[in-house]
Amino acid sequence: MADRLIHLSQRYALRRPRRKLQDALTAYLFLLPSFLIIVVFGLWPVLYSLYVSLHKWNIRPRGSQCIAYWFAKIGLGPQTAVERTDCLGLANYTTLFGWRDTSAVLKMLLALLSGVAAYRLWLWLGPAQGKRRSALQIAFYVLIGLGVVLLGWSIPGLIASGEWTYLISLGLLAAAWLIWQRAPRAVSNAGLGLRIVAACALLGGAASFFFIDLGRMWELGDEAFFQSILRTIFYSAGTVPVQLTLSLILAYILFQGVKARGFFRTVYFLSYIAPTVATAVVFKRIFSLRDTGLMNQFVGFLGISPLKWLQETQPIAPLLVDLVNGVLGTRWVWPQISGPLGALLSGPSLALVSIMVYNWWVYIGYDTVIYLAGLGSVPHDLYEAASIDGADKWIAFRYITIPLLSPTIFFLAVMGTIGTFKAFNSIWVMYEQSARDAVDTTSILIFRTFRSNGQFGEATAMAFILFGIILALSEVQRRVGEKLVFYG
Amino acid sequence: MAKTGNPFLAVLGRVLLYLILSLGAGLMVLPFLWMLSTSVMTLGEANTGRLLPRLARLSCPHVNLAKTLEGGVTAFAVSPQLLPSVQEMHTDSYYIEIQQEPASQRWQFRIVNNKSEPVEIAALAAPGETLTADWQSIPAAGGQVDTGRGLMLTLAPLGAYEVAGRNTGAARIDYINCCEYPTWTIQRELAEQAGRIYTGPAMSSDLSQCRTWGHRISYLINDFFLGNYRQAWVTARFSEYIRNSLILTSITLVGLVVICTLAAYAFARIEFPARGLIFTLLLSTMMIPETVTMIPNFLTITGNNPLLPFIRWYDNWPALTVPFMASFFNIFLLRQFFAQIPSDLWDAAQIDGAGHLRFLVKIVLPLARPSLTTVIIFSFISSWNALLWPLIATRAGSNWWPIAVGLQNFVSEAGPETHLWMAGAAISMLPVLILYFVAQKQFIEGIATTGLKG
Repeated sequence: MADRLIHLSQRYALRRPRRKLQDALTAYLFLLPSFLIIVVFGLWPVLYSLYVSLHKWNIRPRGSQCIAYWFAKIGLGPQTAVERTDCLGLANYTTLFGWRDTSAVLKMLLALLSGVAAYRLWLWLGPAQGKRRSALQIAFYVLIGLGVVLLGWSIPGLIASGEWTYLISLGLLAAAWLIWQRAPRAVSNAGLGLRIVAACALLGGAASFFFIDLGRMWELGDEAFFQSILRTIFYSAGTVPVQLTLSLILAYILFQGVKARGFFRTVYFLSYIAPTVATAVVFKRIFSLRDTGLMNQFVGFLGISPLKWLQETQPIAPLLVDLVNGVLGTRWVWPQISGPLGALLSGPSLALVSIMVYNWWVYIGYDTVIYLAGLGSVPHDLYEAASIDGADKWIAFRYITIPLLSPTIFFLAVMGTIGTFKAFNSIWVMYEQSARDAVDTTSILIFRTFRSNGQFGEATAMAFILFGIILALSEVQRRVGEKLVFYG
Repeated sequence: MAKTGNPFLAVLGRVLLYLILSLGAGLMVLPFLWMLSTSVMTLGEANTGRLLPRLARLSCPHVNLAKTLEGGVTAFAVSPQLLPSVQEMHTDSYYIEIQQEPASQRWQFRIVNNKSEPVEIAALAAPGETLTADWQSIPAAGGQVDTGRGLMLTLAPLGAYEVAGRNTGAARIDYINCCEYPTWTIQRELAEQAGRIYTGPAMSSDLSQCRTWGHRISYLINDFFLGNYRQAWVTARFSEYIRNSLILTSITLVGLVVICTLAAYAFARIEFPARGLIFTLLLSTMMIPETVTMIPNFLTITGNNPLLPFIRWYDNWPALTVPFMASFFNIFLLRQFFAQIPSDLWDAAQIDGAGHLRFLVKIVLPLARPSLTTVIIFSFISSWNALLWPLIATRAGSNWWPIAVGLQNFVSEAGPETHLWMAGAAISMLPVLILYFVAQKQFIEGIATTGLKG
């Protein structure tokens, strides 16, 4: 037997190069179908939509496309491509933001980018040695120089157009961040306090300038787009924390050696497993505006007069004021503030809140099941040790359960945030004509721009900005997570 | 529980615990129960905000209901089973409109359907002679009208209609199937009187057979419970949507299992150049939201992709299946499992002369059944749920609409026919819920370990 094995291994050893080639070919053959599908329907679309977003485009552009236009511009094509073109360059993006002096703002953003890149290089410079170090140094100075030149170039334009406030808010933000980073290095407690206060003050200044910028963009840019982003943020902030908390309570209770845990788990999970469209249809009727709708019957039971729910375009803050007026007999009026601040303060529309309630219902069961899996992996000895040390339930929960569960919480928070930013199906189904744009989150707005208005270029530009926001959010969450999550 | 030492407190805590859990469970299940209950209601019942259908309907009531019309009373009798020609009457709601004719100040009535179109009824004066959609005057003493459409109307005496300040009003007629009212007999008589040939179903005039248990049970099942479902199934095209969804899902699943298994195997068990690079490349697609890819993909399937102009799948099944066949998430999941299979098995298979494909089919797949089940279950659900892409990839009223799009369209096109919506929603949930209850363990464990739904 052993002989035979040795013999075989020698045979394979001899045939290794051929064998390797054969293996590689087999692997490529195995990968081919999935590779083709993913490239055609997953990767190519990203590049192509980037290209589409530079155009005025409906199914296909009527005039010349950007590539033909650019080539013609430098004299490598027919002049008709220049005269009759649908290539808009970055206009789809810049009109969204409503910049007055687009080129100056873009220069400033490029300067910012090179600044960030230079900072990354600076971090790499530390450990680097020898030739690598000098190469990095050269790159660093080039980037810094580039940034300074671009910045200096952009300043006259920014001042002329009144858009210098961007510079102030970004500068304050950078300064606040630098001071915050260095705060722990302070020698005395007083110094530390002073630095933190300074950082906060700078941050506040940055925020106020940011609101000036935002107000201008809101006014001059695409207000519907900014509104949709704000709605998406409301939607995300109004669902994820609520779900995480409620389901943590449920999971914790379920974990206390409850009988029939399997039953409860099955029941809680039902809402998540049932098809979204079907459950959304059910909730669409539950949130009916009739007096006899289930939700109106419920609030009627609490003594509240019937609400319009999914068809209510008013934000909740004025509605709450009305409610309080009804109870107390006062006559308060919610102040009318225009622009982003007003939209932020008055909150999401009741229609969107109704959809949030639906979202809670769907995801609480899911979060509970994931928490249960997480709780199951917390070693029991820890609780025993804690109880021997005299810790009560709350202390054990706070100092054992929460830290050991933090990867799960983090995972759910990230998935939830990304999910709410991508959400489409439930909102689309629960949308009522009379709600107008009250529930149009960015995904919905993109779909409408693409489908109803046939503005492919604008829609892809918005989609890219949304993608950027999602990427930035997950990056921020990852960084915060690194600090807060305890991975054992 | 807390070691309070006080048994009473411990029991109290325990009770509180179960109370919270049951409350939570109740809230989670309530929408489903409400859906099921509403799906066996008539439109009228659904709109009056009842939680349960009128229980009287269970027992074949002789007279259905009397609706109050702000002081006036109109009573309606009920009708027997569906006639093929009056099928639309089954769950539609009908209204009786009453007005005072401006010229003569006489009270009139007519019956309209829920689209406010007048419905033809037998003229009041001479029953059976003509069917008319005009206003009919109400005799002073009230009286009975056979609407000729399987609905008997009992009109209250005139005094009942004196409504202060209003001269029109509408009462809703809830149509209920019941075997007690002899419409067919009347129809036959009417036909004989008019010299026509009676074409309805043959039946004896002996009504006692309607009271048999068999008849009652069949009424209960076919009309009370399944009436709305049948209407959704037939008239709202749900049979077609379900069939489409089943076809599309099966194609997707077959393709997905084959394609993803092959790719996962290659990543897990074969060394080849650029493995890491390809893996990372495909991995990067997981982050990309559908809103970014949908527009270029729409261009691709409509033949507007400059590199692949020959793909013209718009409004056809490949557009709805092929893009879902290679999700990297599934490849990743399977790869993780395949990588755990001991390499001794591969060595042994090699010695026995098996190649990669043979090893995959004969050894790896049988071992990987649990993770394969997870992949299939979640792909089934995400395929069944898909809304955004099928909306884009099909034209309005397409023959390839899956259930999600069909239901969404039904809800946005049809009026607020709550009872039918709920029947439709229940139909579309059914396959998934069946799968859930059959493969519950795989569901929950699959999600707890992978943490994802499509």
